[in-house]
Amino acid sequence: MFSQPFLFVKTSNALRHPLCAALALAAALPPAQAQTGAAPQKPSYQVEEIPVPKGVAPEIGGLGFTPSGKLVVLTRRSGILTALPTPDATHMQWTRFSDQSLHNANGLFVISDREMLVSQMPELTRVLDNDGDGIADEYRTEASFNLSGAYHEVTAGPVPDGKDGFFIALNTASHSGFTFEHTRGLFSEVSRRGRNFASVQHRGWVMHWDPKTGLTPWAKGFRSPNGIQTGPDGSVWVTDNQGDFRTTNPLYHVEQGLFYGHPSSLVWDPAYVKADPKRDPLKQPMAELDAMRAPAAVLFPYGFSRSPAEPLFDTTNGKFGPFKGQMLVADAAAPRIIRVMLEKVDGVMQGACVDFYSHNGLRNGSNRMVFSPEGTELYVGQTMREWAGAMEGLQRIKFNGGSIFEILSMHLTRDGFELEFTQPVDAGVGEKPEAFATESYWYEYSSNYGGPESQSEKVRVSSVQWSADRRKVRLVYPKLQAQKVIRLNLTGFTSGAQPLGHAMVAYTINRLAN
Amino acid sequence: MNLSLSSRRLALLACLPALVQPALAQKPDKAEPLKVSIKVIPGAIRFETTRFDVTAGARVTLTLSNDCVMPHNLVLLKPDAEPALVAAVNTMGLEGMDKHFVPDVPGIVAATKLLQPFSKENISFTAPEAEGDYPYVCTFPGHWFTMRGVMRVRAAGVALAAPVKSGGGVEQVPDALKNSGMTHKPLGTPEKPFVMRTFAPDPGLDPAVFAHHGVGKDGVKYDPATRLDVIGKVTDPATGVVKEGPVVVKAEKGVAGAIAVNHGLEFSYVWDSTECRLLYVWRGGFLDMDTYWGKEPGSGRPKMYIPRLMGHLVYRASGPMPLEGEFKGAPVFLGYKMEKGVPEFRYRVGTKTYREKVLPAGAEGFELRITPEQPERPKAWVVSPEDTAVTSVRGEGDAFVVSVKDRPEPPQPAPKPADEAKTKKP
Repeated sequence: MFSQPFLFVKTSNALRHPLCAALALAAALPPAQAQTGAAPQKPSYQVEEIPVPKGVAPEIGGLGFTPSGKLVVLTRRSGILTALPTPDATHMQWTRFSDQSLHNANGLFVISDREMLVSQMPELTRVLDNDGDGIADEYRTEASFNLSGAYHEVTAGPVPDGKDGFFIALNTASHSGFTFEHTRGLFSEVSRRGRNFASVQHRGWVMHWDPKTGLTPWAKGFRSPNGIQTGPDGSVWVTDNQGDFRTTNPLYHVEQGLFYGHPSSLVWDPAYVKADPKRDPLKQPMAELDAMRAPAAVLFPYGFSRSPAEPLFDTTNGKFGPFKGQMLVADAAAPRIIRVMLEKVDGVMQGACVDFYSHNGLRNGSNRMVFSPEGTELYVGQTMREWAGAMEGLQRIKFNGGSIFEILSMHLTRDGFELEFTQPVDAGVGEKPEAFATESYWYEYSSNYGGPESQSEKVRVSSVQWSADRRKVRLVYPKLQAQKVIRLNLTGFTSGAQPLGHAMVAYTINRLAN
Repeated sequence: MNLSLSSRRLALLACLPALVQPALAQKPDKAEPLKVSIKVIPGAIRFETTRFDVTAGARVTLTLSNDCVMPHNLVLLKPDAEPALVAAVNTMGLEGMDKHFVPDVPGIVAATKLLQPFSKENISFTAPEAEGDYPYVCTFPGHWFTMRGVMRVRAAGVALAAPVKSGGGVEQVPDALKNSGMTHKPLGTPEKPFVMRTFAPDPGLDPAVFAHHGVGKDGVKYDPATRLDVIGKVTDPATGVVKEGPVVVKAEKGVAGAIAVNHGLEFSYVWDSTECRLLYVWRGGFLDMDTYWGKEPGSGRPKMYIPRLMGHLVYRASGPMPLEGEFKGAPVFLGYKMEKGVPEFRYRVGTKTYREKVLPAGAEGFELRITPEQPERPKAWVVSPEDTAVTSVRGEGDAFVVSVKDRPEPPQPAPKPADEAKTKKP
């Protein structure tokens, strides 16, 4: 179980050193480090604060880079800013690319120094600087989004589909707010009901837009999909938020036409309505909805991921550390970025998640992320305006190199898992099955607003087999089942006395490996 | 911003555990219970107090304040009780909520209820006689990873250390929004108008103006757990009788696709990207965004999210779209270009495309300059019978210009204190 004394680090003289003190604040610092008092190395990842000009609300709805290397910062109510990144983050020369006309802008795709696609509450907008003076002079509407008038109807994306098109995710409305007497788009009384609801068309959908076909509905069943990304292979990924019909925070591998479990959007599916015009998704039995829905690729343990936002694939090819090709997920309600290790098993995407970076200067509220063109820095933009506390701003995480000891991958085998580490694990560590504390649990599909882990049980590892180089270990379990999350806690694992950076990893099994 | 300073501050906070001053020894005294106050750090899944000392056998009154948006509890445990507790919570399933996530297991010294956001609870208990470290955690699933602390039970006569407060990993990060200087009462100038897409107020316009909108209805509060509407005490507006019924969420007057433009204190208007027409014009101020953005940064989302008009209306649209007599079909908004700081809106009705500018014309009137992009000119600007404000329609180059005379209305009401109070908590 997770009874590490996360916060109770013995204070020594070494901890008075600023760097070491920063390490002492680490959320998941294993006790070994404090006890050994090992000399601190320069942290591999370091957070820097990036101030924006006075008068700009630093609520970041989108980040990008122009082909010429300018950082583009989309804010939710202060327009678009650009700056050439400087080594000293406090001295960037900012330019306002747009005026402050964008309404709660929450998605950005940069085409050039003079052209950007932005999603804002009512529409997808192409922002253009036609005369080349560095300031946008045209806001061209590319697609219109319906709005009931609820504050919660925000967007995520556009993200490119690899051809000429883009994907955009449309949030539902929340019952914490009202709708307007006159709605933008047709109003449905049936789908006005609900905790989170879709009273106007295509709320709770992932949409596809391209210049030829316009805006078309693509996949449904989303609640608060505040993160969308396409992978290098063109795959579409969406994070959603715990809430009604969401027992925990999921990451979805989204495929065209499928339903992802939040029912309100179904009234805007012609096929669903045609099958039974009187059908009300909110009244449909849970078992029927359950049978219709596609699974999440990864179910994030709640408390670990609080409010997942933008996913981003590490395309830096090693410039940002050893996690090439893996996914990072920002969290808008915790000072944390999560790392996701995905694999396809029996034709279905699934995988594991582990803490990548938390606390240590990282602000709460991370919403959007982008890698610098060099790949050595991750820019992170925060905003969580509707909630309590300070969760807005712009930061970057620099990769300093150095020794990183983490779980590199977790791969499901026919009879267990193969774990790979970034460094050889010390001899004498993890020799016995008991060293791999494992529990399994599941999240029941429920209409409730969030819910606990259920069917929890401790799982025994029956055998442990290390590779000769001590980088890989094969774990055999007497029985693994599908529809389970397997959570391992590798307390006390070391590599040359360096403790494992993040010891907890959780793997979502949708399908067993054959 | 001085980064080296902030990292030094970080260092100091982390060293706090070593610097706490021992307090005077406290004797167990039944008449004077030891008071401990523990706050939840909002949004951080942490207790602010991560360690406190008590004397063995003392009466303790513990206050848990939950100013976070999530529910939390505090369960104080005997030194070795945590693994069994966590295992038991994990098997509670959906019933956990009802039991405040406090399972029937041995080893619980004291526990609060599951506190809803923005509530607090006092609990009293007798400190154990055995010295040692007694952990406390929030047992809401997942929270115990980070939401934990320890109560040290000290022998009678031993000095008690002051409580240790966690930095929480949150406070060290600068509050960039509070320091931003972002104004909630933006203003443009005649030379450089301020353009803002926003939810805008609907000052009670003729419903015919919203011909291409959906008809929004009141909603009801819904409980996802029961999948039923929330039933509460509801006052019948006609009779004043209070009875049980579904809790209604009224539809409000707002414009979802508005573009609000301000030329300084003397001229503002809302042009709607859904109807593709000018909705209203006002003078004497622009928009107070407090009722949309919250009173101050980080103060939480207000209950209302329609900004407030400041000043007085001088024009409101009525009747169907003036161009509709010419062309059928819903208007399609195509965007706008900034021309010398002024937006020129572009839209399509049927197969015809228009550009439109709204410009002040002196202190008592304004103009719409509409430029068709096709050779055919509309036959007429269709003015509804009640729209006596239009004084002339004339051709000017490619454009036709509609002149409108102000019809001043009384000033918009000032904010009610009640509305302001609403904006304090989300």
